Amino acid sequence: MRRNISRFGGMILCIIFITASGTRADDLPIKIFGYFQTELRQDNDSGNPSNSFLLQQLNLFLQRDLAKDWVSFVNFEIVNSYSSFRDWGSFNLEEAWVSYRSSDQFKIKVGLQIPEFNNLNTIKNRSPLLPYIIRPVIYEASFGEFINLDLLTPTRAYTQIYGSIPSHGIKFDYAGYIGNSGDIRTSQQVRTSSRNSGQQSGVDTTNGNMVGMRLGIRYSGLKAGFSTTHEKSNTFVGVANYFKEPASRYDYVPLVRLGTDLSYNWKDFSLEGEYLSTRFTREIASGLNVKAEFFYVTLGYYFNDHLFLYGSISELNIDEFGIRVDSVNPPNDTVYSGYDIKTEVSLPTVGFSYSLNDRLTFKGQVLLANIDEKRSEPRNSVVFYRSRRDLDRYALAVSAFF
Amino acid sequence: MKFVKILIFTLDCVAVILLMGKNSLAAEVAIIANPSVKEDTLNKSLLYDVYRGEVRTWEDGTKIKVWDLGEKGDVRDSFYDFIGMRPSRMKSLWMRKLLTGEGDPPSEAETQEKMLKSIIDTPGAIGYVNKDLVDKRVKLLMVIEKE
Repeated sequence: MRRNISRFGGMILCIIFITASGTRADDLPIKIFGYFQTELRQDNDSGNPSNSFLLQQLNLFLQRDLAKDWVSFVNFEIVNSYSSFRDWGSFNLEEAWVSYRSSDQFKIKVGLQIPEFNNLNTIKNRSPLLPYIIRPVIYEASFGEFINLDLLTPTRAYTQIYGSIPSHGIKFDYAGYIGNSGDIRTSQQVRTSSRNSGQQSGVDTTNGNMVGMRLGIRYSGLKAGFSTTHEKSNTFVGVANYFKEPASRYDYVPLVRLGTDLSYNWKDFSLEGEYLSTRFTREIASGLNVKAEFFYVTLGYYFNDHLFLYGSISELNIDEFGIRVDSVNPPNDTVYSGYDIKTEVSLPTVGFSYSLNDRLTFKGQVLLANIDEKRSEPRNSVVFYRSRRDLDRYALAVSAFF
Repeated sequence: MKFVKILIFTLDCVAVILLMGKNSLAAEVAIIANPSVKEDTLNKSLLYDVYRGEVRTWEDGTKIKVWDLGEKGDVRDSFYDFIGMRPSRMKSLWMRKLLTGEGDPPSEAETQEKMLKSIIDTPGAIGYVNKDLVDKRVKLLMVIEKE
């Protein structure tokens, strides 16, 4: 596997050097543009109302043509009224890549990027393109503080080849990419390791990579595709301290994502939907699995050039596990056990977007979320803990492109 | 029975909405290009792909410079009716290209006269104007007939 990836990398470098020779980029202008979305929301969380303003998201792009058919692109993203002083939100480098476009049939991107997966993944944070204020849950960046979004969809890749092949009026899209697994070493982990460990943050902790692809077709107003990724994760290495299982059980746990997407535009109607299944294919402990399923369907209608109305339903089901202390036997023998946690989140929503012009859009949305969490013993359907939470949100937003 | 009545009423409403949206082409529009362009004709499918940013070079490898009309009117309406897409949805596709680093939106000419001058001055350019404005300084690729 590693050898193949090395060969692939070598091939890419050859393409880059061969095609770059003889081209020059003098005085090509740098383009700076971006957008932000700010909202006013009224929440009703199980009968407890609250309201707030929020700068939900701001993205800043830098783009420059480096030579004929070569483009560099950088995307900075700020979410949840970011302030490092006040410990609000986050500031992220989302993308920094160089692309080469040989033709519509073959393009390549090298560098940090959001890979092709289903329909919304690459544009999930492009708020001017979306009618939503609160996006389908797995694509809502501001939920990243309490849902591990990185596990649900592939958020980063480092090399991608992609293109579109036309035949008899049909376009066949393809994309294949490699990147890191989801388990990336954090600065905190580096600080707590010994000084001479030589560890670096931001790098994959595994001796492998995430590989993925999307295959799709487009015909007239129809667009459909199938996506998948495969990686091995060390996310659960720390769990070995709690269960009397061989440590190797928690290394390199395979993670597979499967997705399908469908979009159809007919006259002024628009229909789009996605299905996603993410699962670690090995039991984390006896009877304990980690997996998630998600779907959304949105039906929309372009009332005129300015107004778009839509209704959408989405559902996210997550199976994970918790660890509890069973007994403490002095002096230092503590016995732990695991239990299943099943969380079902359903999110019906309706809304509108009104574009005053190309740069300014007003949005409104009503979201009625229901979050149902059940805890049970492994391989046992008897629930010993259950919590239900209804969260209604009414939001108004302004999206500005600058 | 009540369900059937509701269904018929709903279908009637949809039909009315669709009929309201149906416009006949109001102007005879010419698709024109800079004389440097080698192609002599263009079909609807290629025109659609060019304006969606799916096709970005002419057959000889020259970059296509796409121009769109900023002023609202019969010519712009006829053009977008012909390619079967609202201008707002087309702009949304261009915005997607821009925000994903996949391409730039077409340049916008405020008037047909400025569009004509831009096509004349820009190698590889394509645009559209009222057929009556076309002269020998540009290449005529296609005429969208008035219905």
